[in-house]
Amino acid sequence: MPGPSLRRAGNLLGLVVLAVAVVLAVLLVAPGLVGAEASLVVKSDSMSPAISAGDVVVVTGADATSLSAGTVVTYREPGGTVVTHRIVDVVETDDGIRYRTKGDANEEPDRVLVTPAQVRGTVWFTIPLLGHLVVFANTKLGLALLVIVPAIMLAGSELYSLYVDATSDQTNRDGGRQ
Amino acid sequence: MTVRTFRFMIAAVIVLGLAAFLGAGSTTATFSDAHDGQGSLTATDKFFGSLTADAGGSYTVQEGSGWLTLDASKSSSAQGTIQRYDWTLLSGPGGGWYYPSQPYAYYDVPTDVQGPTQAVVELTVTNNKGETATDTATITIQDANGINAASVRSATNASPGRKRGGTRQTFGNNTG
Repeated sequence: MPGPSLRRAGNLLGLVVLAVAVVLAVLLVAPGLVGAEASLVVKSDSMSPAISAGDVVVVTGADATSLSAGTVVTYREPGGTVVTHRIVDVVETDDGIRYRTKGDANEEPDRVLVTPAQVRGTVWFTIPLLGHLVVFANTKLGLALLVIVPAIMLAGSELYSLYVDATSDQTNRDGGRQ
Repeated sequence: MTVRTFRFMIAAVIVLGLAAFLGAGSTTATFSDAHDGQGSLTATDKFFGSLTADAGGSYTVQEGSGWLTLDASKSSSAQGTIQRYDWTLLSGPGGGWYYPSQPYAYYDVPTDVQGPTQAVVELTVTNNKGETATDTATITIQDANGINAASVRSATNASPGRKRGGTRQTFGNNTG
């Protein structure tokens, strides 16, 4: 049996891990609670090395009419595709400001200029690798290993504790009669 | 590890796993392909299943060289299955045909172009939940002046396969 200090350290570690998990869960489920617009799973390496496939980017709202070159921006293409690329040029047109965007790893800029109305926000920060977990969790195996099996283990652990408590109570009662 | 520590750890796994499963419903972005700077992977909605269209390419073909097979077989749906592959010609000459249930389309290469010419096709995939994703691919048609078209055809093109289900559809300037 571990000593009391080791037990406390273990409990503290477990609590920290749980707290980190809760924070990440909030970012994934309700990014608005931390002031973000959205959290997004990166699907390709077009922004590497700054952002890699499998990362999660947290996007925050921004004044879409006053962005500058160098800003990494998330926008929605007319077809519905959500793209996160870096602004490489701000273009003044007769219809107003447009942004020329490009993936850091791409050789060419994106073909179509981005309007401020398409902009969803700018990248606030990146969480490496978390997107892989999201993708895995959305598979049957991932759901089983990350949710269902641990839930069964947790329930089993609780039932075992109840059983131990019940049997120890019974033992104490039996012992008290002798 | 004490029972309490064990429970904290398990609870952390459950919380994060559940959040990863549920939270991505509004949290999936997609980035343009790095390999050609033009094609783009598609926005996916993890809550309902990851759906990605991949139109293949970029393609290069000589004028007058028959068919060019457009390969969408790398499209994927993490949950559910892709039921339709639909193609449209966004710009450029030519046209083609496809069977919606198959991940291939056949671009009928123009017989004569003046200098290198580009066509852009768009692939839309639809899964069994009705979600869609799109991708584009660029086809560069080269002027084949002085090139033996027959040898080019055998080197670069695949013949359309047999119809294996679904109704033949056309896109672009192809009415066949």
